[in-house]
Amino acid sequence: MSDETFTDENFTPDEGALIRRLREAESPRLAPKVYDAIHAAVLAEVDQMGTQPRRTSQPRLIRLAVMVASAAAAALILFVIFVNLRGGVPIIGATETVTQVVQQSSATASPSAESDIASATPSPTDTVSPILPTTEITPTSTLTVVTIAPTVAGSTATFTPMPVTDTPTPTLETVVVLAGVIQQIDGGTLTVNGVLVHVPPSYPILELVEVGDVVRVQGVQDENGGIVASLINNVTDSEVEDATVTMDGPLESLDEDRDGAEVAGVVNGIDVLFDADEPLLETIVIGDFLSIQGNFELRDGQFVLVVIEVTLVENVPGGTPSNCWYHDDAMGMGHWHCDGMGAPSGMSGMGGMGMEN
Amino acid sequence: MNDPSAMTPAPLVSPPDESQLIRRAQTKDKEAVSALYEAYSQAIFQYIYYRVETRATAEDLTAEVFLRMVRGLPNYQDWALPFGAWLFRIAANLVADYYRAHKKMTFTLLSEDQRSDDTDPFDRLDKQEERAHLRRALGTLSEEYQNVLILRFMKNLSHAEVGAIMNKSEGAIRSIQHRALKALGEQLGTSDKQRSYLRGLSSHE
Repeated sequence: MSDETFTDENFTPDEGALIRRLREAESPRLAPKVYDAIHAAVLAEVDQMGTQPRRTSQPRLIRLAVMVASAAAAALILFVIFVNLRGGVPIIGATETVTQVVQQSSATASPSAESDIASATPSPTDTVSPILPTTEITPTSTLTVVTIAPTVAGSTATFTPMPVTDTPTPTLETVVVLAGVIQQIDGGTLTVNGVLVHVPPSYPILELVEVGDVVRVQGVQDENGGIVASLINNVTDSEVEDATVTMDGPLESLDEDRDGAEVAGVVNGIDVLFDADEPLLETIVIGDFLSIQGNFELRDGQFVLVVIEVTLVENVPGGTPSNCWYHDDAMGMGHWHCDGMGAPSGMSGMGGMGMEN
Repeated sequence: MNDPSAMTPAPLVSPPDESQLIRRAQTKDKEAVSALYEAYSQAIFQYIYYRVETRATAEDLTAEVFLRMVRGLPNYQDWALPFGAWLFRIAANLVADYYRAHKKMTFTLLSEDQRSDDTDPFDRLDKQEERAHLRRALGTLSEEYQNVLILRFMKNLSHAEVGAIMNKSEGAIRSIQHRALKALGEQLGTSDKQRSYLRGLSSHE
């Protein structure tokens, strides 16, 4: 791929600003685990691959067309020569006749191949072919067959991407994003940077956040200027990609069945699913204090926290890490909460994302 | 006149001896297949990422691109289309297929993106938000506009290369580019006003 600069184009200031924004946009990367998983799948697919690449310079149908046309031309010329020898038809006329027949042969031999290629539904498994090479047979006294090599240019290729009849249409609801510190929690409503954020009552993140926590909210605006949240992200460190939920707490139960791809458990009162290959599962015991990052997912109508990363927090006598405490929500329920999940040190819970520089 | 060439993202660079790698890959040489995957996987993922609404979908489609790469290798011929362009075309077709199956773009409770080297959570969240903002704005544009904008300005491909992927002439790509920038500007201009509204609320404290 070439590296083209944009100095040969004239952009307006607005266009330049847009282009700058596109170019400065963060380039996300495949997470290492995902990269490795795809790599493994690709290598497994190699074993299924056909081994004999078709490295022919011409498709088979074209070769067949050339052979048929050549044979027909040769036969016709021999016939004409034979007739001449027996006494009558001029050579010039014979040549013209040969030309006509040859051209007809070419026309007959190729259209089915062309139409096949042109009408084929493009797919990555099909050969991306340019326009079929035109085979011209130029009758001369020595009958030289000339094959014109295919013209290779992407713009002349007959490969056509599948027409898109349904393009994504913008949602009528504007998705808004808000980040800030939780200032108040009132049942299923959080106040974040002065904005009321309504959270579905069954969404377990409500059990994990406290006043002072930094969260990122995504949702749609309601008629009162609040936000109906579709996603709340309370992960503030950059160590684990793709996680939106962080939770610390004791392991309360762990499924003994390890046959499936996932192992169910309960941590901090929340249903969790561990990857069955997680090495820590071999050593942790009920009561161990864990730090988990993952994502809530709906499975069979229930929210579970699908674990991306789990670490064992230092265990101190009595089973409670020094920077964690049990938060009682005064409704007979409560959850563990550890220092470091909430607002960064020095933050008072005010301001936040919206403060312009 | 602004010169956007001042901030050029890393160009998409073909691996050295790509033709040889392809030939080896076509004989089931796993090392060669791995080298091709390594060379193009992030670029393909980044392209798909800005075309779909969730990272998980982008990962799934990226995986499918490379599985199809392997299946298509025996028939691939480098005189027809450059290898990178071929992969991008596979990716574009897969995204088009995806949207045919999922008519409407929606945001769900599934995982959101999370990547930053900044320790300040607000700064990191700002970058995430900008990325999400761009994605949403791009997502409202037609497939044609999305392809041109992402391939030209995020993947730094030339007009000719984009034309090869989209099966259009260079002139057509230039024309589409101009209209696409205008459409993106209209989208971002509208949604920027709403972001300003939310940011302004924080100053009440």
